[in-house]
Amino acid sequence: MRGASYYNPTRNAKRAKTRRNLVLDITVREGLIEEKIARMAKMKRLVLGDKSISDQKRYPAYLDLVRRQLQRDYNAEDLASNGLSIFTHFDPLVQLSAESSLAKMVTKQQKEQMPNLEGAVVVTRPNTGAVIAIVGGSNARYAGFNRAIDAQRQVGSLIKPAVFLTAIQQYEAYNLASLVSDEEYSLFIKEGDDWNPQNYDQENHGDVLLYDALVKSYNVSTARLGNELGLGAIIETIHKLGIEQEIAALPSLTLGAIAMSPFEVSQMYQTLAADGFYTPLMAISAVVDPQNTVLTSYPLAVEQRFDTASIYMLRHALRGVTHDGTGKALQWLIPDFAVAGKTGTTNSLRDSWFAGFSGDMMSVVWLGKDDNSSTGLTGSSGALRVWADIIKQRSQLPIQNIVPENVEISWVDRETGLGSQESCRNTMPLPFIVGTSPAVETECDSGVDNVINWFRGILD
Amino acid sequence: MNKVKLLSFLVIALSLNACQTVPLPPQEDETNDSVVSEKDNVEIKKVKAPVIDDAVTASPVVTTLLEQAQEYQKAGNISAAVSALERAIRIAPRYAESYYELGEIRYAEGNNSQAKALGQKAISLGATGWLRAQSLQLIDNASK
Repeated sequence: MRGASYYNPTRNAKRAKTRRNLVLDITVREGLIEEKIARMAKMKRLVLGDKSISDQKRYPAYLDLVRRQLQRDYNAEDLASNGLSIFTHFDPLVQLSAESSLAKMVTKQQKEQMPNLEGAVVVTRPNTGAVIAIVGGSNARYAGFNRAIDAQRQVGSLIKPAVFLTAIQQYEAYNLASLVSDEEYSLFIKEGDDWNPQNYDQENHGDVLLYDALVKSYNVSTARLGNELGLGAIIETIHKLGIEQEIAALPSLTLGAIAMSPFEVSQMYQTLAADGFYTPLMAISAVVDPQNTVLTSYPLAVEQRFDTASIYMLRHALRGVTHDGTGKALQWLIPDFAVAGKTGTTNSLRDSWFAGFSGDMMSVVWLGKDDNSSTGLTGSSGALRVWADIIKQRSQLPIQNIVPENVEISWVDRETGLGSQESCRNTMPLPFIVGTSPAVETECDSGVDNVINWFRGILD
Repeated sequence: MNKVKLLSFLVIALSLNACQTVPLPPQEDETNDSVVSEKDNVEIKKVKAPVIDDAVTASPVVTTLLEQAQEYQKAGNISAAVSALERAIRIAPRYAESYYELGEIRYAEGNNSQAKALGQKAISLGATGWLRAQSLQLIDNASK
């Protein structure tokens, strides 16, 4: 049974030769499922069987992940038999959107005298960890360097949610309204150098709310906060989020002087998208032999690594990124569709990142050059645009936020973080663990300027 | 924006089997479009209610899969039960009961850590009423 598709793969009836080494061929076919389910699931499974087709090389980056996960979990002998079907979570429609969105950006940059821009995209389902699309470079058909999995690039501000999550978990000491100083900061390092991080706008902003330090991606206050929290605690958070690599305890870690692949970043943001549940990323759902016996399946396995209240508060700030912060272009790029995420830009604009999620998709986009020269793009002007295109084309569910039982929403003054009221000027609602909301201070001027509409959607 | 109105395709499940009745978890904001503040006579336009998360309602497909899982379990075919539940999760990843049922299977298998995690997952997806109570019990049992 086959419906209309973007592509029309030519079926090649050749049988695969028996080989010792693992041979993977692709057969893309429609699942034998009801029309209704197809619409709801919006997913066509990519099945690797023993029939080869001429465009089996169509999705090299995704297949690369499939191969690696199989090799990680099985001996070659186990899988060398003919006729194995490998069921994956691949979604060709999302893949096409990811490829075309990246291509559009690369082409645009070429026209603006910035050739050789490269990129990578990973797209997953938030609650299951299913990897549904991977783009390994600007030429998606090229089966070479898979940047999505193998490009190790500085993550810059993408690491900041880990810093702030570390703080927010210590709910007696910190909450989204806590003040952090964004004034000039310098840290004496053992080797005799002072570390003196600067904000992107080269300004200092006085005392800022924790919320704003993250939403506006201030470097100075983040560095200061990171030092207060201690690198050990931050590294532990990064590991809990799902990053396995050894992490050097250097102060610059708090501003993202750490290299990760887009796939690793995806694992980290997956945990945030899954409400604090570590959800391993998986390309394969099952391996089935020609007798339709399931050799193995990759069962859903989750682990709650962060309490729901802390994640809820962090996610509130990540939504703030898309309204008041560095990601606010999303308000007109994807209007009336609530999402959350974080921009990332590294020194000299060498890397442009956006990592974020809706209710049914999580995606990481990276832009950069293989020679590590400047892209001329910030996370906002570059990767975010690609991300927005993909979400706009393929996501159907805005971010869903279930307020945990132990969280209350309270109004605070935007400047001071002190308790306030809804009717006051310059006020906004923030989530707090019950009992930690800032005390309501003196009376305020009433008025409805500076109304922040999007917050009201979170108040029942 | 490709917003498919999935609600129009859903037939509300009419299964009256008491064990299958699942109360709806609380939905996102569904209030009026605007509120006029009496003090200032200013209209505050509220954010539109987001697309209702259809996955939290009992679609017939998911209900069928959950029923199948129960039948498989009764027949002792655990792997088929797990497959049915994982399929239900793939189709409706925010439907809390699927995770809870999978958690019960894991508990029966002696996999306490997954049983607890899946119970917690059901809670995090907004399980209420009966489902919430069951999930909390599962978490409690699996923590012993």
